[in-house]
Amino acid sequence: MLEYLLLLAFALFSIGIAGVLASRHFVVIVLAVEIIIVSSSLAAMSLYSYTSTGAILPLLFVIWAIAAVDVIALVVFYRYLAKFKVSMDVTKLNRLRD
Amino acid sequence: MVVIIAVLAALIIIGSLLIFVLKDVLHVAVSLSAVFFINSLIFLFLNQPLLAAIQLLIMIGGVSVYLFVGVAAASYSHFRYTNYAALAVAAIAIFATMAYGLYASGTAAALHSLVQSNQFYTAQIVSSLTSEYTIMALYAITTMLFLIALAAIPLLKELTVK
Repeated sequence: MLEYLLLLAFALFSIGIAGVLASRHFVVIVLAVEIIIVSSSLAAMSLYSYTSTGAILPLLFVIWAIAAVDVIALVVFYRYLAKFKVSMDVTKLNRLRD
Repeated sequence: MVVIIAVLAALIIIGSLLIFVLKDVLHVAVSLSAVFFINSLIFLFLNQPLLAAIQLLIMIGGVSVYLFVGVAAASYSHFRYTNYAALAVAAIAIFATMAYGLYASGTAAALHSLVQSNQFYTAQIVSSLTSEYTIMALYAITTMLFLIALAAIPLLKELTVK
């Protein structure tokens, strides 16, 4: 059962990495990073639940803190880009140099 | 229990793939919050109700509501943003590499023997804080917060247009 949960976490992780590589939208790239965070949380949680290793719990709290900070940074950058009417396509972000 | 977790696994993979298929930012945010919710449900079915509640409150209550109010209320953008063939090829390649590493390095067998030797993993700490009613109340409160944030988006759009 633990192996299948780890395989599920690996599948989510690979979907997130492939989404970061294959997407062009700024918001969707950050949301793919959120999928990676969900997968790491799932892996840590399944290891904790099946082996009762208490040392995994601080890792979970660090993962949640990273998830919260990630979305706050996304919202700040999104409002910045929307204010100056820059496209959400990350291949066109060099307009910011002008 | 195994059947429930298998169904939840299928749902979480479908939800995470829908993020790259849908075109509206609002629909993408709803799909991501569905992924968070199903992740919390998997925590709950792994006999860790307190951590499931923390995950639910942080992810749904904080992240999704902030995402709705900050991003999805501002504007919509419609363009095809994901190369589906590259997504499929990269995802399958990375997953195959990681799964091969898990089984070929003997980590899976080591984890299996570890779980077999540790017979107390089902013994859980159920305090009065994590009774069933508290967990159900937390899920209800979080769902209400989620729906309120979802319903506030047309109002916010009206306010920002005028």
